[in-house]
Amino acid sequence: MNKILLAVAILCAGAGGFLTARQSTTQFEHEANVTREAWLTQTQLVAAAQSDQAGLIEHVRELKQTLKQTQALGENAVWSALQTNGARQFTPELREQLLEELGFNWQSSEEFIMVSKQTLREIQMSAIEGGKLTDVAATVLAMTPEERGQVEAAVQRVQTDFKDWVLAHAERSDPKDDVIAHYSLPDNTIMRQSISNNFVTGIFAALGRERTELIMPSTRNWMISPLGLGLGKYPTTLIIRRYVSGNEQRLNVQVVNSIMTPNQSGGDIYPIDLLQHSFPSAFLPLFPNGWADIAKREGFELPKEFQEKYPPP
Amino acid sequence: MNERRHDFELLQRFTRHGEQSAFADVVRRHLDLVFGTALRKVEDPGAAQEVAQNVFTALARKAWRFAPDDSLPAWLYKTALLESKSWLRGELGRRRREATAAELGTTMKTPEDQPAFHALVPLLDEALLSLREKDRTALLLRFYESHSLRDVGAAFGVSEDTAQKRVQSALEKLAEFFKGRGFKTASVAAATAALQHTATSASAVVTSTVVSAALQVAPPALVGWGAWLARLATMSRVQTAAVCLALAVVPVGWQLNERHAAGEEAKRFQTQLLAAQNEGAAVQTEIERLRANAGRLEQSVAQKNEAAARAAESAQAFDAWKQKTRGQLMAADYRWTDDSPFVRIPKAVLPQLSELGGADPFSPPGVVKPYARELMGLTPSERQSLEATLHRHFADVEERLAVGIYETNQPLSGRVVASTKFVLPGLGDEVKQSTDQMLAEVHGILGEARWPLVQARLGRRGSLTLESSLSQTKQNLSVWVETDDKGTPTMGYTLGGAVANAGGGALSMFLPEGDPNRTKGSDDFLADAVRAGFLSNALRQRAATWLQEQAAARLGNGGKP
Repeated sequence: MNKILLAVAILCAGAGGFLTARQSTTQFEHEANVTREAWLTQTQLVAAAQSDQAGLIEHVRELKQTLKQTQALGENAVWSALQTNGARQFTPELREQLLEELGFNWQSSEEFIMVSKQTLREIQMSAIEGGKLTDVAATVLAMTPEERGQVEAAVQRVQTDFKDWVLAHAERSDPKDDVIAHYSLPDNTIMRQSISNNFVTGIFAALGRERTELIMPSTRNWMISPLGLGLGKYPTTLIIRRYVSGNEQRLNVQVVNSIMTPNQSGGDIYPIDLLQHSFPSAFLPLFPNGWADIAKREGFELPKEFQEKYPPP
Repeated sequence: MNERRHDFELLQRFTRHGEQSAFADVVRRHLDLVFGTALRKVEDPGAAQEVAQNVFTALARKAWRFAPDDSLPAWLYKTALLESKSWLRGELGRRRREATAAELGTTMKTPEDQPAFHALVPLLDEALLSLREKDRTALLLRFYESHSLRDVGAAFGVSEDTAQKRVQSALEKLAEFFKGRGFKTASVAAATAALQHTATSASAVVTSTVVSAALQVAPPALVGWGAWLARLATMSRVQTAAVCLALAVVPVGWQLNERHAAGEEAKRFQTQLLAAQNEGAAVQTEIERLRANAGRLEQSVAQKNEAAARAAESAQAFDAWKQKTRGQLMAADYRWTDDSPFVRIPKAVLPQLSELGGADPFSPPGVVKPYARELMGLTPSERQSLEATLHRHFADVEERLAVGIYETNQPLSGRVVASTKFVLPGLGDEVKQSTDQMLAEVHGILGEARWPLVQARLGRRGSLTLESSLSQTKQNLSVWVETDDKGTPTMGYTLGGAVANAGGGALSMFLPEGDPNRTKGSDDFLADAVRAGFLSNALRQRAATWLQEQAAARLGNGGKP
């Protein structure tokens, strides 16, 4: 009986061990199956990915080939710059390239030369000489007879307006002591702005913005000098005095603004000998022949050197 | 052969192979013991035969349980007693018992009337059962199975003498038992006699009957689990434990092996899975890189295609624009148009235009200004020739001027601490010849049609003519150093000549390169005047050198004056 119990005990223990091992084996087998399934799935995914990869490699190769075959065509730099900036901001080199593209050079025409508008700006062409529009300016700016007539009328009008204002506002003081002539013009800021605006408006109406901008620098200079519109803002006074240099009687001139200080320009800080002083243009409407007219009006004689240097016509 | 071993082998043959003759041998070997015991108990031969049949029937059923070391006589004796008791419990048994008891009472009362051992017989089995199994077996073998002392010893694996001593000892223990039950005269001899008297030999008929009856109920030879159990039953404990352990360990081991294999397989798959995952990750990374690369390339291709399309479009537009612009500029009724960057100028007005313009066409060290290049319609080769000629001329003039420059002292005044004046005497006729030669070359390059454009500038009114610029007429440049309100040295200059100019600035701009206190500006010192052509570069250079010396002397050593 004891043997049976011993056998049963051993066999039961063995069975228990077997079942435990069996359970563990089953668990491992299950894990192995799950892992195997995952591995198979992963393998399929890898295969699919490798297929995609091969496709992509081929696609990239084709793209590189396409890129290599496609010619690198860039936009024409001259045209691109022209589109972006117009011809105003062209460098000299680009302007020359553009002229070359157009086929223009000295030889391309017997009668004409094509130049950029930028060149016209750089030349700083003087548009008004002797109070008149120059033929060169009219030709270069391709003015029609009507346009030229309008511009000339504007030029004439600004001179007339200024002359009328000077004649109306100039003040004379009687000679006193060494002062032999004393004339004053009041502040002309409003008049100057008015005349200037009228003039620009007239030019603009005749020529348009571009050509007005082209001639405006030189016309502005002309209005300041020799027209005399520049002496504005403050009252301007012309003073002629007698003085003695050695044994000789001489004349000096001083044109002053009322608030003139040594640091300001626009007038004479000190009197200057008449022979060295050009006639102030602001007073030309009063005395068209300059020093000769004022001497005649005030009854004094100009120095001999002056008469020798500038003999009467 | 050992008696026990012999019994065991006979039973083995019977149980494993169904050999009835082997069982019959067992019956014959021990029937006397069983029959005698039963007869002694039941006192009826028929009943004893029945008891014997039951005992051997039980043996036939349980034969597989015997082990080599088991004592079959001992088991048979006990079983015979049990079967006898069982039989006696029946009705007949009861009567017999009563009768026997009456008879025994009479016998005990008169022990002298009968031999002494007769009184002991009823208690004989009880006495035998009181003995240890070995002692009892020894007596059973000796007296009821009639074995010699040698056989008894062999049954126990001892010598004949030892068997003799064991039998003698057992008989003494029996005698002691009887004495303990009141039989004062009981001795070894009496016990021996009782045993000998009660030994019975069963007849051949009884033997045959018992064998037949037992075999009729005996189970067939054991096979399968039965045989296995039979074998198990026949093994010793150690053997049984070993067999069971083997039986238990083998499947467990097999299962552990299976578990190990499954684990290894799981590990292998895990490793493969990891490798596949890594490979997948690597492939995915590569795919991402390729996709990004493809994206960029697609973008580049698209951009290139777009650029090509734009280029073609712009080329077309540019051609249209050129055609339109050419048409406008070459038209018989040419008009100014704001949308064209070019204008048409009659060549006839160019000299006047050049004269009325505010800038010279050439400047040092040999540049044809852009406006002049356009007005003259220069080709690249014409421009190259022209500029080479100008370069040679200006270099020659500068070389001659540099030799003639001299320095004069200037009086100090106010806050001026150092002053000097550099004078360029002008080359006069010396340079006129060189200038004329250069102009002749320019004339040759430009031709008659374009020469008037240069000529117009040569005869232009004003203080600075192209000629003066080309010939570098007399110039002088005064430079000085003065201190400001804070005591800091500053510089100033005045330029005299065709064009007057003056200015000043910080002296520190003339400190050497790398000085921490150096300020910017020295490169611009009178550079415009040089470019405009009214100051000799050599003169400027002399003045700059003097200022550098002054700066080093007054601001050197870390900028401390």
